[in-house]
Parts: sequence; structure tokens; C-alpha cells
Amino acid sequence: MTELELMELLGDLDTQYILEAQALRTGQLALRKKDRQRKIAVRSGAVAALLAVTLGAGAILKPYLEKSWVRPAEVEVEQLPGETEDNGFFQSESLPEDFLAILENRETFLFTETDTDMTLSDYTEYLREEFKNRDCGPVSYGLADIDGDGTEELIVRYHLLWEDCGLLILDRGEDKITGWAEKSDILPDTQWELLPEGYQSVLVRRPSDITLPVTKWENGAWTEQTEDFLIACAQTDEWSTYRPMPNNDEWVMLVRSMSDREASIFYTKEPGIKFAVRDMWERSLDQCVQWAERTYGEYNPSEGKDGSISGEWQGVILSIRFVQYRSGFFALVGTYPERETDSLGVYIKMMFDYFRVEMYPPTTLLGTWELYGDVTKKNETLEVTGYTFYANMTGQAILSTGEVRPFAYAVSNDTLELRFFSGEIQRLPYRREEDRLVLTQGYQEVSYYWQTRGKLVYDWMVE
Amino acid sequence: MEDSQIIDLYFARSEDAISETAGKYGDYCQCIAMNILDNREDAEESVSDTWLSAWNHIPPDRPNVLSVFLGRITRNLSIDRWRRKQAFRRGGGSFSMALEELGDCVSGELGPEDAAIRRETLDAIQRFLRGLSPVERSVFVCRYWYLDTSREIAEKSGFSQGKVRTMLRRIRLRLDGFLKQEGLA
Repeated sequence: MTELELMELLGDLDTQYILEAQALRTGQLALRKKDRQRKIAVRSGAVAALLAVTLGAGAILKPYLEKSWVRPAEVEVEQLPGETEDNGFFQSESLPEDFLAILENRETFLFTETDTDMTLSDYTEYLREEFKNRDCGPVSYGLADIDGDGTEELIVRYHLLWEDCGLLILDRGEDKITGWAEKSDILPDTQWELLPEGYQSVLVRRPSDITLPVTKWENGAWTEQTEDFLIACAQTDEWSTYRPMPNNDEWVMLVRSMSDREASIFYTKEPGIKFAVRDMWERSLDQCVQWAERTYGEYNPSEGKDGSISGEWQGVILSIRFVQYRSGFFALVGTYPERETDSLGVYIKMMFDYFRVEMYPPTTLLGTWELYGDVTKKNETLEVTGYTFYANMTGQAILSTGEVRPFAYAVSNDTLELRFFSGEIQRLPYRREEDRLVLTQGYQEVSYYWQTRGKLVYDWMVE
Repeated sequence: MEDSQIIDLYFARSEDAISETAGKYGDYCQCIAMNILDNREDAEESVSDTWLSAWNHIPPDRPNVLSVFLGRITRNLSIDRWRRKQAFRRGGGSFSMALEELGDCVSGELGPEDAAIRRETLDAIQRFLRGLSPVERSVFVCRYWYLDTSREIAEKSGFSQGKVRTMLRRIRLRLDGFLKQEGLA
């Protein structure tokens, strides 16, 4: 039988079936109208579920919940990539093998939007193209009957750090698993499990165990000591900082409103200990200072020479610094009880000190894309004395000191800053030319052309 | 006007029957024709032919459900018109896409002309559809009887487009298996 013959044959279907379908077409029969009330309930449930995931991933924070942890109303909880480090892969024991194979990229599913077979990685690439951002990635998964057909689907949540990139729904078909995208406004109330860190982002991360110098106030003087910390890197598109966790204390970061603007706020179990990062957008430094004085008036704030703010109220110390980024300032706001100056206050100070405005390398720097670079050596009179061309190299190799690759990159208008685990920081002046980025090292100039799929991708360097 | 009154006009050979039919079911039939032909002029001609065909069939026919009776005529005429206008080739146009999708359920080789076998195949399809949930069946009929796009079905049903496509694909594959099992594929 041909397709056309079948199509013609279908013309003689029972009248009842045609009327049934017509009821759907005319809106008399809604198969699945989204219920706003349910959606709201699901949302609040999902926030709780996410908080549970955030807190319960390693069961580290359960005591918080049992003690004085108060979840602020209207809080959107997001998972920091660094918080997954202690998690095993795919913790859900009940995850069926076929779904597990999808999550582990061992099997493909049929993505119905494009009618193509994809692995989860393929889909992530597809989504990154859609969102025009390489950092969009899957962060967590859960099982829920999202389409109401009585069987559970696998749901994978995608995030672009703070931005929701929707859900991928994976459902068992007759022959294989099929997948389709849904908006997150139908977020089901389920137990979310975190995906392994490698799935979450292409960003380079700082290590989880590190030795850092800490300046402590002891015996009437500030002394620098070296301590081993459990440490996590809180990292977003725009900034990063360390979160020291002495004595297994934890930080939890919530994204919530702060003076009518979204801010990332770190809490610990100690009331009064907070560290917040708020984007001041394009306000001038003067305007930032005025905002701080107005917002934190009860602390009797005073401005330091460097534009920082400090104050004290009811035994709680307030510190505010403004850190410039491309188009404005971040306000860093830290508070801690005065009695904690020697301990937790020190760690707040570290979060200030290790705060960095970040720019991230493109995926090419981490992957195996072909990169091209050349080094043009010049003498004092700027005559070219040597030329080396690199091809088929990874960006990691180019931007590395031997085998050691930088874990973070920062950029100012004219300097690229590379930071290494060893503590070394390289600051390389650069200039941007039409088709390349040129780093100058003494009399040596290094040009980088990152090229993937025919497009230069070094735009990450500068706005 | 009630359908029974319109049908009475046909039986009375009153030309008002056609104007009343066009007034009540013009949009309905036009939609079906457009879904197949994707061309307003062709669709309008197909719908006009529908009224003529109805005039020729009633009497002696007395349809139980006038809308489906007319829709079926429009669908058949539109498919004929589509076939006349272009040699069958894959790709291009909504109807072609629907045909291509149905390739999941058929061999693609010309079937026997035997009316009995066609009737048997249709009966098998009816049995298969009876085994589906009303939701699945409606989505299938919307797509392959009304030739609605998956986007249109998604809008009406509240499902996402991806879900609709997934559902349709599964049904097609199940239908393929069912027809093979019945020795009809």
C-alpha cells in the first residue's frame, strides 16, 4: 500500500472518530489544558524540591533544616555547579536502565522537534545553538508523569546558570525513547537529582580542595596563616569567588530579591552571616555608594577611601565593596556578627578577596576543536624576527604553562588575566584586531584565532 | 438551520440547500481543503465541488452526520485535485509531509485494487483506532483525516508540539505493527 492509498483509505474512518476529533479541533474537548492553580502549586513544590536537592545533595545541610534555617518567601533556589562535587553520579537507585543510558550518553533518543536521533550531548549542543550560549547545560533530572499518561517520563532540566532553558522530556516509545522540549512552567513536583558536574557547564572550575593563606586576628595582631580548606567555587557567567567551608560548615546560595533587584546571596547556618553579590548595572560609583548608605542606613555606614562601605549595627558588622566590571559595578555585601570576627568573619573577608569578575573561555578551550595561532617575534624596533604557526592545537594547550592550564580567565580593556592553581597569575596585555586577538609578551606577539565551524569565537574576550 | 432541515431542502431539490450548507459548513470544508491543497483558489474550487457532489448524492443518500459527510467529500475531492495538480513526490507542503509520515505504516508499494482487501484493511484500521485512547485517536484523526498540522493540534490540545509529534509517531509505528500482524501491510 502506498502512503496516498492509506491516506485515501483513512477518509472512510468511522464518523464517530471524526466527530471526536472535531470536538478537539473546536475546543470543545481540551485534552490537557494547563491548570494555572496546579502550576502554582507545582512551582512552589518544585522550589521546595530544588531546595531539598540543593541542601540534601550530600545530606551535608540537613542539620540546617532541623535547626534555624528559614527559607525566605519568594525565593528561587538554584544549584551552584560547585555544590555537586560530593555527589555520586545518578543517585536515583530507581532510575531505569534505559533512562540511565540516555543520561550517560550511551543511547540516543528520537528528538521529535527535528526528527533526529540524539544523545543528551547532541541535544545540549542543539540547545546551545538555540540559546546562542555555550554555557547552557543540563543540571538535574527527575522522574514524573508529565503528560498524564500514567507512566513516568525522565525530565532533564536545562539552565544557563541563572536562566532557565526549559525541560527535555524523555518518554518511552514503542521502539525507542523519544524526547521533546517543554517550557519550565510545567515543572513537575518531583525529586530532582543533580547531574554529574561534567554535564553542567563547560566552565573551568577551581579545585575543591585547596590551601589558601588566611589572615587572622590573633593575639592582638593580624597574622597570615596557611590553612587547608574544603572549598567550593561559586561561579556564574559574570563572577566567581571561593566559599571556604571550615569545619564542614556549608554555604548555601539563593537567588532572591535584594532592594528590588535579583542578587545572589550566600547563607550559612549562623544567622547574620551573609555574603551577597548584587549587580548594580550601570550606576556610577557615587550612585552605588548612595544606594548603600540609603539601604543600610541602620548600620551607620561610612565610606572608606577606596569607595568601600563599612558599618555596624546591633553587633553585626557590615562591609560593602564595589567591583567594577564591563558596564557597571557589582556590590558585594557581607555581614557577620562582631563576635565572629576571628572566625567566620575571616571567611567572609576571603569571599571578598577572592571575588573576581570572570570571563570564560569558549568550549574550544576545553575541547578538541582545532585552533590556530601564530607567534610573531619582533625586536625592539618592531621588526619581525621570527614566526611560528601552530595548527591543530587545543586552546588549552595554547593558553597553558606547560601542562598546567589556567583555571580562570579575567579580562579588562587591555589585559587578559590567567590564573593558575599554583597561585600564579599571568597578566598579558592584549589588543584586538579584526580577525585575531594579539597578546604582547615583551617583544613577542602572539595572535590567537579561534576558529570553529568557520566562525571566529574569540568574542568571549571582549564585549 | 438544523442539519435535518438542510437535508430536507436537498430532498425538496431546493437550491437553498446549497446556500444553507455553504453558510453553515463553508469554513469547515474550506479548512480541510486548505490543509490538503495549501492554495486558497484550489481549496475554494474543491469546496464548490463539494456542494455539487452533495447535491448529486442527496437524495438518495440521507447522511446521519452532515458535517462529516461533507468533510469526507471535501477531503476526497481535495486529494484528487492534489493528485491531478502534481505528480506525487516527496517533500513540500503540509499534505506531502502528512503523506511522508504515513510512510511509517505502509510498504510504499501499490496495493491490490481489490475492494474487499481495501475494506478489510479499513476494518483493521478501525479496530486499531478503537484500541487507542480517545486522546490518541483524536490526535491521529486530526492529523490524518483533517490534515491539521502538529502545531495546530498542539494549540488545540494543550500538548506541546513535540508531544504531539511523539504521540503521532508512536501511533504510526503501532499501526504498522498491527497491520503487519494482520497480514495487511
